[in-house]
Amino acid sequence: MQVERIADVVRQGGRLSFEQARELYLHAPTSLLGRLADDVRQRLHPDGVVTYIIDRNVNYTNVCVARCRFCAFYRPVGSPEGYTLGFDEIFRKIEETIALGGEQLLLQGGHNPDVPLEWYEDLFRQVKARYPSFRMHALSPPEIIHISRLSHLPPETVIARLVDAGLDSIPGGGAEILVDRVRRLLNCYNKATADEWLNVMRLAHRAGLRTTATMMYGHVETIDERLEHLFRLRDLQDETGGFTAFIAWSFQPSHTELGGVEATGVEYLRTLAIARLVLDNFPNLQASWVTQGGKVGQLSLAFGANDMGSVMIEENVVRAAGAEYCMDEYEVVRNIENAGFIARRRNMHYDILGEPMFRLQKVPRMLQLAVARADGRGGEAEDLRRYEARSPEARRRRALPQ
Amino acid sequence: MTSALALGDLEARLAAGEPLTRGDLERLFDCPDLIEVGVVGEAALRRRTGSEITFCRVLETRDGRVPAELQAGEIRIVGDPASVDDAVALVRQAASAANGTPVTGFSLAWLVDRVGTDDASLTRVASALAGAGLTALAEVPLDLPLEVSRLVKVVAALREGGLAIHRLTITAAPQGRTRLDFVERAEQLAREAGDIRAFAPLPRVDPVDVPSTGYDDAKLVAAARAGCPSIERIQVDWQLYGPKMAQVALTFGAGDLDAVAAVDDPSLGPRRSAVADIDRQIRAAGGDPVERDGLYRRRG
Ligand code: SF4
Repeated sequence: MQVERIADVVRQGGRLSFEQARELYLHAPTSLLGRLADDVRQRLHPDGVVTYIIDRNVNYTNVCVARCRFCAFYRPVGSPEGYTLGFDEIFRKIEETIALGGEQLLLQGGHNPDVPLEWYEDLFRQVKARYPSFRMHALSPPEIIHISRLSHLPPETVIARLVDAGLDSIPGGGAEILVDRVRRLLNCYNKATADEWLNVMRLAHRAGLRTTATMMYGHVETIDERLEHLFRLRDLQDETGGFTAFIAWSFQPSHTELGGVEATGVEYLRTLAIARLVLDNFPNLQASWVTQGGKVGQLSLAFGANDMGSVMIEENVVRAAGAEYCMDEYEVVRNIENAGFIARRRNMHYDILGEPMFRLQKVPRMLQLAVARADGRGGEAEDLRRYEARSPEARRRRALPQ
Repeated sequence: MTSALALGDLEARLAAGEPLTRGDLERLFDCPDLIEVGVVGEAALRRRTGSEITFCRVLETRDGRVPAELQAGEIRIVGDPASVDDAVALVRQAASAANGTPVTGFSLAWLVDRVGTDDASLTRVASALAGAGLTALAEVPLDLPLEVSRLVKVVAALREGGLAIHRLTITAAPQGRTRLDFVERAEQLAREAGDIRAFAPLPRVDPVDVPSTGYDDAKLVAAARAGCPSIERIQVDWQLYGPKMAQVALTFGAGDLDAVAAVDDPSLGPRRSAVADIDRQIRAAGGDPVERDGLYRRRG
């Protein structure tokens, strides 16, 4: 009865309190949660359009000093498997992305002490000079904090300099669960506390950037902590209105120090649905087919999602933790249309760009996602020699004659 | 999008114990409101078998070898032996190490390919396989080009030879609502042959470049549950469909998880599963787990 009363609050367009959200998340049948979330999606997107973006998810370095316990992707400084891409490699990836109809790079990486602020500035400037309309959706809040610490500059200055160089928007990675108890257990408190993560987003929104927000659940957090995460995001969105979308995914345990088992598919759909209900001020919710697979990814469209996320083209982080799913533009569109929606391409701001690209031009099929380096090589690119390094290994390496 | 009550009448008719027509199943399959499809599928499931969800740990063997420490509820011989004699030898080897665990194996497609559809020949071969220790034919693929009336006779002939026939499958099928043809065939066969315990409606071969979608799979599961009252369990294959889709199928009407790994094999990645994990997955989908064996008997 309590659940039904709360469901009525949602049906009448009311806002959920923490306790009401908790009651629904814990006790509402999955079909009711889905029904309510789907109704909210329909209210927000009555045109029946489901969007997606063609962009490439490039991880420019896997060298990282943060050592999060849930991460299977990073390599410590000095590891022979550590890599940092060169500008030419990144330009090549941009050109491949443009050939597939893409218009943006999602650029994120490890906290590499040997990649200074100037490297990012030069990269962004050169990208903008070569590909003026191409967009850089880059550097999650913990990376901004890392660069801020490396350069001894406040985060707002780092953001301002990066925007000046060509940064267009900031991805919502690194949020995990925005509760410091959890962040300490995951060893990601030092890379960014919950307040620090939110503050970078606040600064970015104030600087006129739009950003996304994420949640990685299913590890050490409690249900209340998941909800606290959502409510903290909702509060910041009330304040700034700068988030374009929310994306939830389950912790991928394979090859990580933390280990354990992955949250189930049903739990994903319930979590997505409760996020749709709590985050009433977020216009868009993405389906995470990269972690859930194409089938459950598509089912997300019935549980509150109105966006199929990115075609990706390349993926390194989730794959390192054992999940490997691929959907090219044909597949994304086929899944959207099969679910009864209209498929439209978008940009990061969720402006509609038009019909599926493959209906406008010939686009090759892509049955496997690319990786950062096809040959799996470690090592940093030559052009990094021009930049100051922090680690003794890199200083020595860069001092050697070429 | 349709209204929230687009399928409300189907729910009511299922609750009243009325059978659904082909037209009803098409409405269910074509309904864009997936949540409501799920409500119908789940209501049909609850009505048929309550909250109990069965699962079976299956040890698949291609060469008849069976490990000594066995947790499986079923030993299933997979593959297509070159001859009936080879099949009998495989069964004998597997059965000698089975220690009471039911040994199943082979597809009706293989048997028909080797023996034809003559009743007497089928009974003779079934008898040879049963004599070697085979308890059940592993699957009857409904996409076999045989009329249901013929299939009923084939099933009877095999049973006469001593083999149990419990499980209907689909090997490959075109996508879309034509898959409902198999739901109808399954129900007809189960009604006429009797004692069909499980129907796995999701095809075992899914094209890599254009796989079936989550919506279509979920709708097919719901349609199978609503359209096959004569079959106890709608089944999903844990390893073939993966834990995520298999678990979600439990909220659309599936009531049995087949092919749960019998040994903890890390090479299976997330598709491997300790019993504790299966238990967690079933409970998270709102069900009560019950382990069964290859003859659909409750274990433990
Ligand atoms: S999640 Fe990011 S910050 Fe943490 S260890 Fe991995 S690469 Fe480094």
